[in-house]
Amino acid sequence: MDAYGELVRRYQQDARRTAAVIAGVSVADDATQEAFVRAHRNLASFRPGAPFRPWLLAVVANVARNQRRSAGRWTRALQQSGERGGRHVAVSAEDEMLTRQGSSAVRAALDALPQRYRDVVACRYLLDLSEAETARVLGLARGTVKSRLSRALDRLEGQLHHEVHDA
Amino acid sequence: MPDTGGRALLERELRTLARDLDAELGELDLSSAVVRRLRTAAAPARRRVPSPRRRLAVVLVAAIAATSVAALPAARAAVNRIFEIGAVEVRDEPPPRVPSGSATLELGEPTTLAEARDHGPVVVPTAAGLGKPDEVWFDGRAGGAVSLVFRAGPDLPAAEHTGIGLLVQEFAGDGQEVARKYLATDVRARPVVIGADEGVFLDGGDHYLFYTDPTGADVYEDGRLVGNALILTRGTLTIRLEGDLPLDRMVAIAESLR
Repeated sequence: MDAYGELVRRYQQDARRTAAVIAGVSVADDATQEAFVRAHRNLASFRPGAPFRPWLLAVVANVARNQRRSAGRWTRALQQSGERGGRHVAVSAEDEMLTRQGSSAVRAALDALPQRYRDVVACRYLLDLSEAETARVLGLARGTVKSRLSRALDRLEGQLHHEVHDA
Repeated sequence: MPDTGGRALLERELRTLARDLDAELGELDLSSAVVRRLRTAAAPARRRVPSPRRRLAVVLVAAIAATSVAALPAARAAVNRIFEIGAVEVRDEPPPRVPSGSATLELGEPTTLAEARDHGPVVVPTAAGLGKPDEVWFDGRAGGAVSLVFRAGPDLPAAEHTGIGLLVQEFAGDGQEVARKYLATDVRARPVVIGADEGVFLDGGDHYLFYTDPTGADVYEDGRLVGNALILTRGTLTIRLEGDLPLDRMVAIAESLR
């Protein structure tokens, strides 16, 4: 049990991010806790030698999906975070300003994406998962991840481009 | 967002959102709470760890007879028998929930045959008149399932509940220790031999198909009403053929799987 506690400590931040991205920040900790309990019950299904992180995050994603009450929660949570002035790391005031302006627009564009695209973008960029890991976590074929990510980025770019020109 | 940054700047901004998310989440150690829950759960009665096959299980639930005996626990227990072949389990009991869209096919994500084979072995029926599958799907749930869809045509009548001609679903599994239990309901389950493989043919009544979630937890999703089905094991695969076809045609198609 102590060894499992160590595993929880090691992967909990990734797990909380995953849950927050899928189900929202407000339920992320409950979902993460439930996922770790469920993962422990199902450790026998984990193939020894296989990477633990994507397997665990797939469990987290599944629990979080069950708790997701409406689409777009995570982006709204991010917007709230931005509005409240979350901690940011920037190398210069110019960078900070650019980042803040850009982040706002990116959040809005993300919010406008269909859920299937948002989940893939979130896994790749917010969770920093590889394509293979994203496929495992979301239960998709790797090619689907690739094509969805490409379409999602195209849409984001298109939307941001329009916003800049409209402005 | 300046339009000169292009994809690289967009990616940078997306990664910045991760920092926002971390800031919102803050730091929290859940390990004590998780370990406490596990110890509490383990103390009175340790939960049975399901077998690997159970985790891959696709559950066919025969609802008709079960509804007639649901109010009689003793009678229900007497008929609550399970047929299990490879990764497929047949239960003679009410579905965990009544599917809302019984004709909806939930097959995962569209893909290609070549890409599906990246995930493991896939066999395709080569029986005359079938041609190539019209659609290929991959579902990461249930251990990774590949579905081949053949549209209805002159030789393939449209199935009542799905409207398609033939659905072939292939589940990764160990294919070992096939256990057999038979239904005593309106749904008939007949053991069949397909070359060197063994299987079961289900017909004669309505039954539902459910997937368990990838963790093996008792969460069922996407139940739907299915028609006649032939289930067999082939090496490491458990294969389901579904369509409005008689037993001999199903067996012929199963024998042509390559």
